Amino acid sequence: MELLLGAILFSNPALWIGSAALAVPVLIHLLTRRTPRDMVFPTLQFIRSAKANQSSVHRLRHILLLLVRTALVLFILFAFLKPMLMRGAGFGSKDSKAGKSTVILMDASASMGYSTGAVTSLSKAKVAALGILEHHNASDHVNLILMGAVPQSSFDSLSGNLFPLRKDVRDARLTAEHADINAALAEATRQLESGPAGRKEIYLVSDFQRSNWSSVNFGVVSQNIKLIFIPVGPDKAENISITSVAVLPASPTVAEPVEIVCKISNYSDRSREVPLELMFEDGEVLSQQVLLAPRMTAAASFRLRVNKSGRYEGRLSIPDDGLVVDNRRFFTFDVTRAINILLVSDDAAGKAKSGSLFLNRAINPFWKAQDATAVASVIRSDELSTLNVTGAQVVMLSGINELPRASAEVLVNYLRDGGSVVYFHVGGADTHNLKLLAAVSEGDFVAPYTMTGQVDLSLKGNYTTLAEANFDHRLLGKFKEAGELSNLKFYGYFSTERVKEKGRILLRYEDRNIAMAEKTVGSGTILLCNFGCSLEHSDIARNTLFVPLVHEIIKSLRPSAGARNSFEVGDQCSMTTSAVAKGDDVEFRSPADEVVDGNIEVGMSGAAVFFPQTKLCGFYRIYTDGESVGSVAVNVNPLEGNLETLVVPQLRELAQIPGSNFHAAAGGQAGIDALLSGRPIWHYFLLIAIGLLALEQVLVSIWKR
Amino acid sequence: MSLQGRRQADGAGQKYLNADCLRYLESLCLSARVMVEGAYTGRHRSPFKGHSQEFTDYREYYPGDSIRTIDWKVYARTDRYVIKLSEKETVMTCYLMVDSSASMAFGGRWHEQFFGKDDVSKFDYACYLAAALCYLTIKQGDKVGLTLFDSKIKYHSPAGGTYSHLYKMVSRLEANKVGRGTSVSRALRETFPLFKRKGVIILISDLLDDPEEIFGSLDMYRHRNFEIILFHLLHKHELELPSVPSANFIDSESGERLTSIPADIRDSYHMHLNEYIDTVASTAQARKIDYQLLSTETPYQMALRDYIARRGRRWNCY
Repeated sequence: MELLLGAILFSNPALWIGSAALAVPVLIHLLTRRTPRDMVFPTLQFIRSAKANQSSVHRLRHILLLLVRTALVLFILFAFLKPMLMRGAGFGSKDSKAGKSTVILMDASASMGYSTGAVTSLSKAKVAALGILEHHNASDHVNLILMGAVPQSSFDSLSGNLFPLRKDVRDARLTAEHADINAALAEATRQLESGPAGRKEIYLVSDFQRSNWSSVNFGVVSQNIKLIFIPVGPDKAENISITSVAVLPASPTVAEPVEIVCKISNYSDRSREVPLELMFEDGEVLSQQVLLAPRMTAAASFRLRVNKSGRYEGRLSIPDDGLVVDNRRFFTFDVTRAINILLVSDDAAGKAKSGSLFLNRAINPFWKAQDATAVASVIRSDELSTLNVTGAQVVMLSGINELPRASAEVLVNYLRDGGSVVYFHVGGADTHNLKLLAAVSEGDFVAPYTMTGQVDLSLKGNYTTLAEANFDHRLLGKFKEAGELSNLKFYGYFSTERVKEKGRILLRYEDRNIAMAEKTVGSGTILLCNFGCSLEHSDIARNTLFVPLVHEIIKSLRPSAGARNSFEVGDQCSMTTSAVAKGDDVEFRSPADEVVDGNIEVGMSGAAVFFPQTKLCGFYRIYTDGESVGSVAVNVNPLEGNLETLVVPQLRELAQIPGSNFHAAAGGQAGIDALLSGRPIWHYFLLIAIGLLALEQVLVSIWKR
Repeated sequence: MSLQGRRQADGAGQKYLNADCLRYLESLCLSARVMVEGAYTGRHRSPFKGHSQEFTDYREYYPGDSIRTIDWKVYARTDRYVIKLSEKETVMTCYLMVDSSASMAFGGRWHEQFFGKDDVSKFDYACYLAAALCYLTIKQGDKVGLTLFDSKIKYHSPAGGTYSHLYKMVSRLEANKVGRGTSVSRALRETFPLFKRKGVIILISDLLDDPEEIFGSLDMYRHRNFEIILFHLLHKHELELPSVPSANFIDSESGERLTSIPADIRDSYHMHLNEYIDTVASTAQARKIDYQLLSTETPYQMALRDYIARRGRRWNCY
């Protein structure tokens, strides 16, 4: 039977019989002990004085020698009993009748694909996990959870059936996902807490990437659960990663210069120069050399001009290194014939001199569509939907009625996602609409001013002009020199009251009422124009300034950068397309050209496509009649490329759990065995025995003199 | 000494005074170092001036002096009556004091299981020595007395100079049994009034008492001009701790027990014992007391002969 003494396990039970040898020094001591004989002695006073001069050590030297000799035999015996040092009391003892509950959390995120030679971190993790399972038996309750974007548990609850667990470990595949460690920990804790009482352990087998693990909340782990960290990552990884790509502008138009900017991070301690390639689906390849300083991120850009509208799929790549998955980055962008503007207006159809009519004409002054740089789609406010706004680079509201709450939510979400809205105030509904937008945004949108009433100067034949302009703003900068803004006449507008520290005021009337203000909402911007474009409200439509002003507004509010539809592996991704109509036969395919599940919602102006599960990097496409009509780029999380890991002391500090519940071992088989079976320490016992022998000889020689 | 008397002495001292001993002691002579008082004319110097061959001094004649003492040669030269004084030789009175306390019963038959049959106890050794001294004193025509004591006087025999007196004393030595506690100083104080005449006190003891008290008592005798000879008798196993592996040492007088391994404490024991012996010897030397350390390891005849020889060299008296 194995004996556990503190943290030391004696694992050679056959030699316990050798404990009889402990009696040898005691017997020798007893047999050689001198029995004192009574002797009448006259000069006892000198004996008393002599004894008083003796040190207590000298008097007890026989006992001390007995102890040293007994300890000598004891340590020799211990050395033969194969002592193993256990990091935590009771680890690995297979004879525990009660059994223990264990959950192995194995990291299968993209970073685990880093390989030095032919061995990936995941391979090491598999060895470690199998090693852990080796130290369990049927009386234990075990489960395996693969840590990906969504934790995947082998069993719904803990099980003693180790065979399928071993199979699952062997069959575990590397993902390109970013692991949701908090979810995995929560799941493991739930399973352990609902499992049988007794010893509970969570084994964390991972590369312990700093970028991912530093934000883990270990507070979800109960106090009675031991955490065992088994690092399997590289000690010093050298990795280069493409971390981001952006298209400037986000939705370019035909013949417009496009800049594709990407960032490449060098996660190594030496300078590197790598060739960067940009490839499109038509096979066109652009390349350049990128010099990367140690531990730095460099930006590289490709300038190009696209002469044909449509959807473009691009791929940036660098040569493969230890971690392949982050050496490519996929992106899509749409090239439109003109800038798409969504004009929302409830003006009566065909009404002459309406604001929306003037605006529409200002957006596209040319009668032929192919000559336009911007085209407007006009809808009514009750037609506002996510599908409608998705393709628009700017949404303009003019002469709208009171918005339904759903429409207001669409606008707010559009703004939060980076869209731009221009709102021309023309009537009483605008007060309500501003309040509604503020309410729907839950604090994200607070208008720079409140409307206190309407000012109508047209009845008196009066008008007002602009008195103050913020020419530092990119929208108005070009109008500073011309000085034409002051010529504009305004007949009707709202009296305003400034809300302090909210938004930016761009224009003011002579009476100090605000004429134009800007406010950011989420990633987007809303431009509030306290005037209408109809002739009832101003003469701005008659002025030659009108068209340039509208286009400057569009230009300045149009999203300047962004790779559209870029999602991370493991996420649900979505896209819109106008190439699918109701009744079309559609097919969804993964980057590996395999048919995958997908959902599609076809609306009036297009279709929304959802891919509920993404597992690979690349383009998830939708096909109709065998032709790709839409795609979405899916990439690895850029954090996965940073292979800097947390060391054990940092993990201990991070975990903030009691020392008795924290254990760590090297990821190799030896490390696992050392943790679970213990580290052999018989040689230390032998050394102590030799030391005791030397001590015994020294004491004997001292006391013999 | 008559042959009859010598035989009588031989018969009496079968144990402490045998023929071999007597033959060995024939040639020895113990003399007093200081002047002794005696009623009889003998070989030792007396403080009383009298008729003898050795001139000491002159003094003026006073009426009443015997006219036989007038030095007529001086009168012839100086016309003055001067009396010639000479040192009177007298018999020596020797007082032997033998310690018979329990501590003296170390060795010999009492410790036969440790030291063997040939070992001599301190008390036996003291008795041998005392008997030899008695014989030596009486043989040379002096008187000797014997006092046995432990914490008090157990036996006292006034000084005598006959062989029958010797027989009596030796017989008493043989019949004596060791007592319990020791008080040398008390014994000395008790004997002080008993020793009437100035003479030589020979004290044979292990001196396991307070040295200051012992020498304080001896000082009384020194003030009366007694000569004191101190035989400090220790057993050889007291001088060298017994070579037993381990022992429960029991104090012979108090009964106190102390367990120890002699080998462990031998060095320290020697140091303390030698310190004590040096203290006693130096104190005795300071008081002009003749001190002699004796070990039972040395045969008493040899020890006595060596002592007398050394004493003769020291005081030029044989």
